[in-house]
Amino acid sequence: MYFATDLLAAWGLNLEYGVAGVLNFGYIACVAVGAYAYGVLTLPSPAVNGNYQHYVLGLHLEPAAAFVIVIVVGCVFGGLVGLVGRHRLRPDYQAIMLLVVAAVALAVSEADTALVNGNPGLTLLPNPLGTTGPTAGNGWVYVGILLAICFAGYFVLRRFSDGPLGRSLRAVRDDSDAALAIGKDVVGLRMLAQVVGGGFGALAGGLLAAFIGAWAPSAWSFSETLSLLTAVIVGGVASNYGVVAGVILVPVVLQQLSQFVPGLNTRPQLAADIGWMVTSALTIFFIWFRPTGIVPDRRPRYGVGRHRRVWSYAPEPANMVVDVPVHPPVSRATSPMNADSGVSQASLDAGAILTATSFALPRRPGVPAPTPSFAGPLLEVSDVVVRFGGVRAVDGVSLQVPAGAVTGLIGPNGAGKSTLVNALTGFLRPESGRISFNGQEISDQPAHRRARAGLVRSFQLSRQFSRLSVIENLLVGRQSHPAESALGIALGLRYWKQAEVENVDRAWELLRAFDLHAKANMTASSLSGGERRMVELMRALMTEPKMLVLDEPLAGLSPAWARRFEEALMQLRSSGIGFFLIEHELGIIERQCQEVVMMARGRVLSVGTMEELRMQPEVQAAYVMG
Amino acid sequence: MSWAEGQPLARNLRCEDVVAGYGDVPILKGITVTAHAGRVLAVVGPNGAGKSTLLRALLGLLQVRHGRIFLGERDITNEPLEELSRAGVGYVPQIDDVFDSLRVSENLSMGGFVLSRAKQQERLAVVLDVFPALSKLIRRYAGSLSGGERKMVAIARVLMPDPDVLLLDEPTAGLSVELTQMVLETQVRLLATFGKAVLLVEQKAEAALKVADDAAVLVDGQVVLTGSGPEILKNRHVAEIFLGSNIGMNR
Amino acid sequence: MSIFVSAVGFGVASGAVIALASLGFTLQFGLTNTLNIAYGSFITLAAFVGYGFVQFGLSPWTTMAIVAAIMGVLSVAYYGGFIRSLIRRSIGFGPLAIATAAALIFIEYTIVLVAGTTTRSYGLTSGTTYHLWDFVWTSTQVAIIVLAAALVTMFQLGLRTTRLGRALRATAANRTLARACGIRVERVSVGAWMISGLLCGVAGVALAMTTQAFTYNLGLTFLIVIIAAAVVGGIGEPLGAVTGGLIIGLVTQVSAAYFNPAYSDVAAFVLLIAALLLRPTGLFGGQARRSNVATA
Repeated sequence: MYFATDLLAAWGLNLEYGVAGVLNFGYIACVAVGAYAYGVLTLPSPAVNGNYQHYVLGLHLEPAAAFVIVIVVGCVFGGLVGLVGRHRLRPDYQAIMLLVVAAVALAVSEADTALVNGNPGLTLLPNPLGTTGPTAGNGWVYVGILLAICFAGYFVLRRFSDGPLGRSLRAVRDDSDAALAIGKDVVGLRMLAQVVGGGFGALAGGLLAAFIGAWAPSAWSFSETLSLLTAVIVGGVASNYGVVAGVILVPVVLQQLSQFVPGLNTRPQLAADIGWMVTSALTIFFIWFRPTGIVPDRRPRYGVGRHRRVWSYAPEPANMVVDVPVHPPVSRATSPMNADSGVSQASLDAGAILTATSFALPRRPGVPAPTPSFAGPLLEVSDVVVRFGGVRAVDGVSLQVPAGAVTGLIGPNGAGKSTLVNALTGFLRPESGRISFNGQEISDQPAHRRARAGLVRSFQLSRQFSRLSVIENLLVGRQSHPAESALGIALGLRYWKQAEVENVDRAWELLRAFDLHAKANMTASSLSGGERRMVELMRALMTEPKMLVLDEPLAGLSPAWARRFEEALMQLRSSGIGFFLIEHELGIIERQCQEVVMMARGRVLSVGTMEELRMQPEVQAAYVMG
Repeated sequence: MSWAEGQPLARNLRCEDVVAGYGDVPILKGITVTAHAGRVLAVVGPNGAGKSTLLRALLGLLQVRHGRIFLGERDITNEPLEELSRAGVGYVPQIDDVFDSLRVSENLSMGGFVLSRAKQQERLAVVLDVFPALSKLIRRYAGSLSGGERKMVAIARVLMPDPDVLLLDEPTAGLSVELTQMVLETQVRLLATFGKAVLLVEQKAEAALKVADDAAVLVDGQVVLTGSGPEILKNRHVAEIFLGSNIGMNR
Repeated sequence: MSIFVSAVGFGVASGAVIALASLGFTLQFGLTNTLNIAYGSFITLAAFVGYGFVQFGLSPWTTMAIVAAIMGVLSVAYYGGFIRSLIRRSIGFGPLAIATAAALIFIEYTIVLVAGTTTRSYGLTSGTTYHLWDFVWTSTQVAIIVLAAALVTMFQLGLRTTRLGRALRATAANRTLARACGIRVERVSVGAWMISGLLCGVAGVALAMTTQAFTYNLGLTFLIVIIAAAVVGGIGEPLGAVTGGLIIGLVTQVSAAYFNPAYSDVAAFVLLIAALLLRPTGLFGGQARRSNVATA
């Protein structure tokens, strides 16, 4: 009985905290909202009972109908609480906020006697099976129904916590900035988790109130949230099966069963109190020694075992190459640089790890290579200003980046290069100026919208979703996956399986091309710095970008990895993607970029080939000699 | 300066074959340099050459994997920053180089935190003697100062405990050309004339090399050139290093 | 008018207690950047330990001194043996906050185990009533207001004059630069937690002296009130915590006088929500919005 309701609530909380990373200290308020909603929906009007207790509504609905409304109310409440996320507060402030929201709800329910009868709470709630209060006769029937609800609830839960949607939620949890950069709507996804979590919590509360026949403020103190959190942490963070184990151990054994252990004469509650101490000690123990819990969140393994059948996996790389229209690199026969790049290309090819024949940017069938749909430059920036306090870090920058080429951005430390990247990709709001991409004004769009439009960035310190596997880090890059749509959630696997199969195939092709397929099922946190950089690049490619903004991709790479990265870039040059390459390692700029933008002190100083720039005295003064 | 006279020459800072880095990639691949007492050692190099990494390794902020660092005869490899400061290593960071929320006077007294009260007064008088302009700013909050004034406070702060070695991380970053010259030619030079060993990490190579007694050019975590400042300034290869690819220059 | 004046009088008295507690909280937060949810239960614990001494026959003021010392030691042990180890494991913000929440429950049920769930009271007589201007205060309230004022003044003076105080300011202002000045920031953090424990002990006993009754589970509600004070004043700012404490004390008491007294805490909570949404940096500044610059 308690197992079933606690399980539903803990699953909901696990979706919020374990999967989506929202630390909701006020989760118990969702449970309480469900319980009160059940109460005021099923109770008759207060006057019928001679105003024995006071409450609003009193609709005297059928319990079954009431439960439907309870779930809806829980979802709405969860969503309203989730609105807090729109403010993008620091995570600690957000946790405080959620805690306070629950505290306000609790205080209001205690103090306002007219709302839900104040401190004494609601009693005489109708039993869904017709009699009042739990009786030996129908108690087991009720438990049976509850277990059935849990079973059904699991299949609903899976639609959110597993599959591509669960993967995206986990990505948001592991690194929200990196998730934004590949087009995930971080705020929306978190809110979705809170809506669903709220629904589960409310259902659990409603069922509990219906079984007990009463609900009062004393039933939902902060410690109840902690009890559920402990179930999640002990059982297994983000693991639905783990939570089952956690719920059996923590709320059921330690809290409910311990109440039946006979206490001393003077201390009837002794065992229950000790149960609470053990609960909190267990939380700390697991956070300290085994943060993944008893049953860790198992990530699906691709290409082996069960998934080998489910997700196609072609072992022959030669078959996987999909023809892509090849745009020959812009010829610069008149430039002396051409000879240089020829030399360097040859030397690079000698040590090539990627072979030209096996490497081609895999695309989904039927999706053409990105060709700019209008004639002008792909990215056009005019007069962008970013100010930090009194300092104009970017001071009126205008520049253009074309498609199908590698454009360089160089400049001394503090020139404003990274600030400009942040402004272009929506991670910083410029004070003024216009940014248009692919012919559309994007200045006011949030970061994830820009990424969806095809403007995707990488980070100076490569970021990955550390608790996902390497291949999942790629798979998550797929834009507007049908599994993340409302239809996908409603129809499930059969609706999005084809898309996912293609997604997995593309990921395998990329992994093979980058020679990292052997590590596909390892967790991303186990990779070396160079491998991480490659995974980041592959993930960006999975989004099928029109333009990649690479923020110092060679920073911290060993020479061997830097060479590998440059080879990859060279191969990708012909794919039609526009590259905007920010680097201080001028060798790669010289070899790969037709056009180079030079910034200093927040302004564009000069634009031209590296060769041309090198000759300009003002460039030398600003960049070379300070 | 009267207070510097008769004092024993301060100790050197010696770096021997230092290897350090982040994760599995070494950024510094065996750096050997010495900052001599009474001289300015300029460490220059293109972006990403490992200049700031070297400073972090020297300051105990980054684990040194191999090699040793000596202050005089004392091995200070991997000692934590606060102990280095007590041992006589002064550090002026590039940004956040003053306590913004404290007054200039408080910044100075924080600099002399380890000193006794009497000694602190004594040193304060000396430092104000060196930087007379500070007297006018003493009640101001450091966060409200201009770039040049700020750097002066930072350098005055680091002088308070009378350290032997000074590590300056791009002291001219964000300063105008005139201020850059002023800071390097008066303030930084001044430190060396007091007998301090000054290790100056600079992005602005030319300006730094002009004031440096010794210089080391860092490329890709290695010292590729050493010599006196003016010598290196004249060296044709330096231009190449900074101007980027060797391919372009060797034609 | 007289309702208002007496509410203001009560507000100052309760604000004094909140200010002390909030000062302790903001120290922990400002120096070690830890959201220590268990701080609420430390307040409760202080009240209950004080209860033991009062039952034993000690005067409340002696009790306060002893409890402050005990809480100082406990706070240092809690930081050194628990918080610091968790921070060093870099387990992330969420698990750390959950661990401190678990510590709150653990301490609460330790109290239950020893003292039970019954409501306790020091059972002090309210003492002489003083009329100052239009305010009416009991002698206990006056003494606590004076004590709080004295402690805050001492704290502020100490920040400027003592070695630990100066080290605290430097460390809070710029940790790396403080280290470059030879300040042993790890010891300073321990010192901050000790002072925080002392203040928490004083505040816990003072709270028990001024309220009629207390139970084992008052911690979380009081914690939110404390956080409200700290955030309204600007978290990490000692003077802000004190000002915020007074504001919260006044707002809760005045709203209790005019509206439903049961809503007095809610007024503080709402103030906190408003502060977080509208001005997360507080009255005295600071950084509250998530920094969103993706690179170093």
